Amino acid sequence: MLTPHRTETRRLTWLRPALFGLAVLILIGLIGLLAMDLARKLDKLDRATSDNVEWQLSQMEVEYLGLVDVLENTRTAADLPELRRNFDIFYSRISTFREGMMFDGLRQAPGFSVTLDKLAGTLDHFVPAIDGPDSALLAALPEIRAEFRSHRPTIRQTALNGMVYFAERSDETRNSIAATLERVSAVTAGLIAALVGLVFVLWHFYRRAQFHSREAESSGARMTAVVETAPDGVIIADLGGVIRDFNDAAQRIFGYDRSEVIGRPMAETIVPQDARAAHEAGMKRFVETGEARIVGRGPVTVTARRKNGEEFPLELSLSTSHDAEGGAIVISFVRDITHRVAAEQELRVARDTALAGQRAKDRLLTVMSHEMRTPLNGMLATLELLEETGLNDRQRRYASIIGHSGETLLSHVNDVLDISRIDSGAETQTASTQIMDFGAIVRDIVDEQSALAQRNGSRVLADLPKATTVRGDPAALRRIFANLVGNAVKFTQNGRIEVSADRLGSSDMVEFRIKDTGLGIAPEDCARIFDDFVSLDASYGRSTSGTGLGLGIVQRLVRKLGGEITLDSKLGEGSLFRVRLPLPSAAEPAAARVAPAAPATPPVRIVTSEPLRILVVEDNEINRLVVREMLETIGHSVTEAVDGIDGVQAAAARRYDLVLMDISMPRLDGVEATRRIRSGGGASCSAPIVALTANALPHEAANFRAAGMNDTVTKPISRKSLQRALDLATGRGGAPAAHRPKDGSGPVNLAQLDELRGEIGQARLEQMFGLFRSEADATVAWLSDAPAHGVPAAEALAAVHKLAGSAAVFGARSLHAHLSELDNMAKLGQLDQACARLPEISPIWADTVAAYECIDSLAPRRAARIAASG
Amino acid sequence: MRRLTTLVSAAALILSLGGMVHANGSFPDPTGAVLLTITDPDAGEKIALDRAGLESLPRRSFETTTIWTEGVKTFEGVPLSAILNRMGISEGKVRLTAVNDYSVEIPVEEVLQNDPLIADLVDGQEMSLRDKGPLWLVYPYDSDTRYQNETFFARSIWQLNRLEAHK
Repeated sequence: MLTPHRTETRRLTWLRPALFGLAVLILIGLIGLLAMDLARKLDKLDRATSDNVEWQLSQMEVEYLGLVDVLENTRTAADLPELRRNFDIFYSRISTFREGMMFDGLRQAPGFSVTLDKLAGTLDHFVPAIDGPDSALLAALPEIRAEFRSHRPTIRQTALNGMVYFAERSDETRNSIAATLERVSAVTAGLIAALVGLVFVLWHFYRRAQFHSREAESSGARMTAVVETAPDGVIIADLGGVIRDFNDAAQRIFGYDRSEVIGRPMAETIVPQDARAAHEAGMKRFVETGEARIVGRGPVTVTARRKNGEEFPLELSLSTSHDAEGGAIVISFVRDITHRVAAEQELRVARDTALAGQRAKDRLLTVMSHEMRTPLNGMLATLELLEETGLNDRQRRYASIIGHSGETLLSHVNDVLDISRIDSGAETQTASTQIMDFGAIVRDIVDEQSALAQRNGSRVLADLPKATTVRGDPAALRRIFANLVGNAVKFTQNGRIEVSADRLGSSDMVEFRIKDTGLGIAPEDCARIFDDFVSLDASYGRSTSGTGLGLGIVQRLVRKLGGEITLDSKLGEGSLFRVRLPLPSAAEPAAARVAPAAPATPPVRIVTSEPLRILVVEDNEINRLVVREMLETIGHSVTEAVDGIDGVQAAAARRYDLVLMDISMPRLDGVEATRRIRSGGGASCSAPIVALTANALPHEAANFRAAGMNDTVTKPISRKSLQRALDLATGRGGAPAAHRPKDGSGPVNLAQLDELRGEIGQARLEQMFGLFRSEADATVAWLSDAPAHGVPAAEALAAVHKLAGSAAVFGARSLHAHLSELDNMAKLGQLDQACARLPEISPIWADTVAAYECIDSLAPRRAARIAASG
Repeated sequence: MRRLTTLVSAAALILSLGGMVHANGSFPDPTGAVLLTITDPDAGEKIALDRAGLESLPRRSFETTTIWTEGVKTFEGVPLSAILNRMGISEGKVRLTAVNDYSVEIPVEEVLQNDPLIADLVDGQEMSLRDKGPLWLVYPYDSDTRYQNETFFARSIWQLNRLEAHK
């Protein structure tokens, strides 16, 4: 409670008495001065410097008259003593006037001194006569008589002069006294005023004191009421821990009656046995050092003890104060938090249970999806093998349905896995930013979706800016557009799907717009369309099929990338999805980082390549079977290992050209197995090792490489993916990110194909492509054998010319180039040389076919089926 | 006049030597000129004191100025209390009267407090009637301001020749 303003108040209360004391001192000083002044004045009045001068003056006249009277009546010598006595008395009187200090002033009065001198002269003149013999004195009597008689008016005048002088002196004195009295009364008035002021000040202090005392009284009463009625327990104890007060709430909490605890130490009553030592140590520390661990630190939770011995959690706040006698006291505010603690515990348990349940569900979902996918992959791969076993049309149709259904199922499972992976944060952790070309991604997706769009009678168009090289996460971007464009294609019949992009000013944001003229979405559905498992229009949903997770994935990805997605749609008119993503522009040209496969050398020569010894390390039996079948079909020899340990042993025992390594396996996983193979120094320690994994995330791929793996092949295993692994083994690989050749390089010109698709539509393209492929297969086979069968050069070269034309139409760049060259040689008459190079056609065609199989829109299985039927 | 007084005093001395002693137990009978006549109405007697009589009493002196004279003077004489003592008077009033009949009355109590001096010598000289003699009741004015007021000035009677005391 010792707040700064309190100390200020204290300073003020200290100041006031000091000022008051000063005022009193000043007043006392003033009173002292006044008293001294008065004393001086009174003293002055007290010391009369004059006798009664009027009396003296009248005595002078009386004595003069007495002398004159005696003079008149002196006849004989017997009268002379009387005369002499009167003379002497008058003489004495005049001497007194002339000499006395009291008559200094009077002597200054005009004419007085002259008169006195004259009288003194007369007196002195007659002294010899007076002191002489009686006879002489009697003789001188007439002269003396006449002389003194003549002084009568002078005496009278002298007396009057003296009277006037003394009247003036008296006035002066009176005035002086009046002035003094005036001063005295002024000072007295001042004194009275000061006293009145003092009284007022005292009254003011008295009122304040009274107010404060009332205030203190009422605040004391209020405090008592507050303490008594407080919902929290209040315990007041001294520094010895002895309880001084114990309010109602404390009685309820602890079960003690006030009278039972007051005067007893807290340690014996409310502190549990095993906390007493700590309690006493704390109190001791506080008393000795003033160091408080709990005081003023806000509420802490401690264990307390009720009267019945029950221990319970207590919330405790401490503060210190002083009692009326100034002794330190400790005030404890306590609250029984038994219920709260119990409720919190209950909530915590409930939350933990719920979280555990949610986690278990998520885990179940993930595990289930994963466990579903593995057999599904096996099914699809086996189906691929099955389709190559010479099925009749009906069987092929059924197999195709199984294939479609299986792929749909796989995509659903992948969706679920994606959602749980994004939600678990895996995507964020690995959201990589790398230099990439979003234009290429969008075009790829547009290409991929064009086939389906054509089946619905729709077209997909892309309108992209020139600068499309940015920093971003290409995998996420690919997923976003695959879903959005896929959706648009799905819900648009005989319409248009436009994908456009623009950079917003010079910012990092790029806005993508995916616009369709499809069904559209009702306004009330626009918000929930991004929710998980939302599929609008069940009937249409059936025909289009979907988990309803696609937009959920899109929205999650967009948010993870720091972007936003909005939807603008009108039912029946179409939808417009806007995606804004931060994709800072990158200066490097796109060609620099999307490293295409070495363009000069056709990448795939599966059929003609030398048979390779391949070790397949895979715990899943179906997958092993599928891989073995695929590889053996194309002439390689395969050794199987059922787990990592098995694999490491096999790799040590023999030199393999390639090791295909599954990642998750019992006993020893692929990463660790690779590490051991690389460091083991066995026969295959330097063989290319390719990871087989279902969902390789970028950081995992980095892990794999760190362990010594050369590349990663993503399941489901297909010929396509195997080709990459084989390319690696034969030294033609090295372009893991771009297994599909791009425009301007590679055996197939995609732009050419796109153009053709634009002209004739997807369906027709596929149909025509099938014919082209059958024709090419047959022609190439025939030409390869032509020299041996003695086919005339001109006839063979005519076939070359014809095939060159078809190759140009379908963008078979390498094949076209080679055939054109032979054609040109023939035209130049170099028939023999041209015929000698006919066998080169076959491998080029094989590369080209491989390239065609990588083009999604041409549907590899379809191509394979066409090839098989051919 | 002084000569006369001397003569009178000498005559008085001769008379006293002649054995004409008054039958007064307290004061010696005068033989010279009477300076002070003391009347005690209770005792019903008159006592006359000449210079010798005065000199037979306890004497005292002090220096002071007065408002009626010029300069500091030494006054010597008999404390009035000594006369009252000799008379056996310790209360009542004492009346003092001068040659010119000026008269003052002083409470005995105050006499005992302030003890004025009946001076017969000023600066060692006797005082003639012309010089406020032969006796002058004085207070030591300079010693205390309490003597410097009208009451004490009025009581300072000169040319004193009579004293009347009654209990």
